Amino acid sequence: MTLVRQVLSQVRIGCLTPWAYRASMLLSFLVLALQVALFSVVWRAIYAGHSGPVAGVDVDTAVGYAVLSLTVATVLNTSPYSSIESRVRDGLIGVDLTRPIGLLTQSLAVQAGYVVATLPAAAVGLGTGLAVRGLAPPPDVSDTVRFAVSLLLAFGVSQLITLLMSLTSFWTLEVGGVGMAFFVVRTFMSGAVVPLWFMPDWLQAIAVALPFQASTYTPIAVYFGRPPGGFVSAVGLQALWIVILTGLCLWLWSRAKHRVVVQGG
Amino acid sequence: MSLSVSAVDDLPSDAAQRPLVRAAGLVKEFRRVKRVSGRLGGLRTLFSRDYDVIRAVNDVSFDIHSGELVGYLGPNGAGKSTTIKMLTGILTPTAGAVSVADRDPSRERKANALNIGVVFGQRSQLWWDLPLRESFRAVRDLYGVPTMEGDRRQHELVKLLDMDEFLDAPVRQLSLGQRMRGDIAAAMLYQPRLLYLDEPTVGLDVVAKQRIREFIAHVNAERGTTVVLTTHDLEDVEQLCRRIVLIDHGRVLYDGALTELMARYAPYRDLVVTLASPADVAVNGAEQIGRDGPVVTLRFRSDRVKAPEIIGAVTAAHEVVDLSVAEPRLEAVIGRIYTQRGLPESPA
Amino acid sequence: MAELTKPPSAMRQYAILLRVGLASAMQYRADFVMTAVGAICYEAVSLAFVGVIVYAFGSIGGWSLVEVAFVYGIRSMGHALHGILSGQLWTADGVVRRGEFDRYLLRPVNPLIQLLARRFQVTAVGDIVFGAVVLAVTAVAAPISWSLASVVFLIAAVIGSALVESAVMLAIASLTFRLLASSPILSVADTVFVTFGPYPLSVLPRTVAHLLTFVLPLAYAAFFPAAVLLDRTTELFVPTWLAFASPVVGLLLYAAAVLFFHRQMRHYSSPGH
Repeated sequence: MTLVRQVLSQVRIGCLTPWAYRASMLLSFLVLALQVALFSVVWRAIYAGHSGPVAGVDVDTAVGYAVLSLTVATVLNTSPYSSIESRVRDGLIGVDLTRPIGLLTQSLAVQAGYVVATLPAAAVGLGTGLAVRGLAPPPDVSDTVRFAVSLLLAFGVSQLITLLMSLTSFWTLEVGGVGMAFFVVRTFMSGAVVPLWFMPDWLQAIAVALPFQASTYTPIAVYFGRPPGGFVSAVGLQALWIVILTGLCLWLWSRAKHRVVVQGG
Repeated sequence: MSLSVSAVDDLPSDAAQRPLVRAAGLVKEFRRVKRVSGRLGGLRTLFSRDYDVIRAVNDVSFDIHSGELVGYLGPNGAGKSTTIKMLTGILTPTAGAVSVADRDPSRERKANALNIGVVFGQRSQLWWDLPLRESFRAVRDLYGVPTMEGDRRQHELVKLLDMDEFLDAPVRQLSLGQRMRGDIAAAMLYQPRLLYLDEPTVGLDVVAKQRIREFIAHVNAERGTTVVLTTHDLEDVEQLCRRIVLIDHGRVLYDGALTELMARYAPYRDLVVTLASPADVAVNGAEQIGRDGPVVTLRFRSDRVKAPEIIGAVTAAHEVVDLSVAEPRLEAVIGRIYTQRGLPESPA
Repeated sequence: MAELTKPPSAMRQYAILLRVGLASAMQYRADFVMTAVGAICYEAVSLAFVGVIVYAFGSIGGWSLVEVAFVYGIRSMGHALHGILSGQLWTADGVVRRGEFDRYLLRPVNPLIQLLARRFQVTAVGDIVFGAVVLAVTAVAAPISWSLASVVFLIAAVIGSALVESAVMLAIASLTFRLLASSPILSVADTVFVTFGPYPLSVLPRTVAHLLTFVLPLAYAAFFPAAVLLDRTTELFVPTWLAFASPVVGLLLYAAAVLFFHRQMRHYSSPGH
């Protein structure tokens, strides 16, 4: 019971924090709307010189994919990991360790709060998608249910990836460079900007071997009725990644505890 | 322009008459967007054009002459920082005028910058990741201090502030006291005529505070550097300032000598006596203001009665084991002014 | 003897601050390398994105892979130079909100110079390496017969490209003094630059292409000069001279942005009264 309360309090903090900067938040929604609009323009321009589908994807699916992937990535792939980073750097991590709630639970709860806070972005992204006539409903109801299941798993995968990244700040105090590389690799390999369908085989092979695609590409592929390797194995892979990532986080955290660097002092 | 000004400054008669700093009718207003509450309040606030006008400084005037050491005091939110920011040229006054060495600080920013040194206790100007020595070099280079002259001054400052042992340590590794010494030295490297110190002793231990105070007194006395000091530590003020300017709600409450303030608002002494056996003490010209067992505190007006007379009267009536005379503390006076939000009635 | 003290020129002060910034960055050598490598990854991924698309589609609007890559090459080298000059603009809102800008107003140095040289932009090191390699490779691969004049134009175009992007970002960062938040707007502009940057803009609908020429002037940053060098000026949607004038446009825009910054600076109200 207390645990639930503690977790909820952290979710609440994670939810309120980004809204303390209202203007930034609202403008980030604007960025999303703009991206959705821009990508629909770009995809249509790219398809303009081609008749028929490319790599089995027609222009409407490409645009629809962009609408969904940008929206899902904006909501799920938030980056509050900078909070652990800045707290390690400022030596405040010691304060967090004194709280009666594990750091991993605490961080995950805060992250989940961020995602909740960013939920209105879904309406913005999808709304813009509809406005530019770039979004078609999934083929049938069972696809919708499957999409929801896969999306839920994607939420787990993306939060664990974020947590894993933030834990590395115990080793690299300045995660600027690593964080940046991580951000783009995640963006690219998750299929947030370009579907894995268009990639050459060798690149697809790399993407499939990494966890990122399970956080964005998989649910959207499910939405369009083309789950990679069939629905069951696609969802199974997502679940597997959740297990692996959880293990990695626990392992890294046990190592990190041994070397909590409190800067200065 | 700058040549003619410094030529005039060199005339002692003129320089003595004209204040170094002149604040005349300073007003600073800030506009703050009114928060819209209720549904979509945040969104509506973003597009709202309604402002609250906050008058942080309201008609503040004073002159500071070359060589003075002035304490600029006031409770939190009184308008101290805003005044200092106008004096240093960070903010432009809404109304009124500032001049520092006959320059408008916000208009002639660069020229003014050479005249002033500014130290914020809470915010360092040093380069965090570099050895202190490198920060000094950067300041000297940016201000264009000639090499030999700079070496000489730096050497002198390092000696005065005893910074030898941490000169090569990165600033982020320095203790607060060491960092503060470094910050003050950085502000003195180009020998500004005027030094603004904003809470230079905040968070420091007794020894570190004392060292900073000694340095401030030194540069003021030996180099004639004019110092404007804002602080909440009234011991800084008691030890350093002859004159204080006290503000609250953006207005000047008091501007004058520290001794004058005390004489006007706390013209009393407290006599604390320990009696051989507990008793109340009644003496002409003094009032008993407290009693704790055998220890009795008497207050008397030092401008009307002399301490020996009171002491004589007490020892004549009671057997006294111990006694001491205490002067009123500035803290008590200022504390009263802050809580009453105005000057107390001066006792009749 | 305060008269002996005379601040050096703005260029010299900029150099001093860069030196200090570089020395600070070098305190963390491992991070310096990591950040530079991270920047290369960042750019490589954006190249990969374009690469994937051209791979899947064969060509875009009649522009072959090498031609599109050449547009990308100019843009990425320009972007790298832009990073050295203007990377710190992203921190403008933090600098203003935390009151760090107070200090900039107290030194005898132009505040814009202090902002730009606030930290050394380590990512730019990676960007420069990456941009130089990509530009060199694509310039050789592109169907262009290089002459002295075209090489000079290419260099001017790359500098112009940096100035165009910097001008846009500086103008936006100047809004910080009033809005207190500019990095989200910077992101908007950056998103547009990144999304459309590598494409031959002639494939876009005319309205969009015109917006990217006259409102958010991305066209001068890569597409126009590339079209000139590739001799594909017939596809331009503006008079040819304007495409040739791209470097000059960059210079003018940047000068205007600097002026704008200094005007907006008057609205600075330091935090904490």
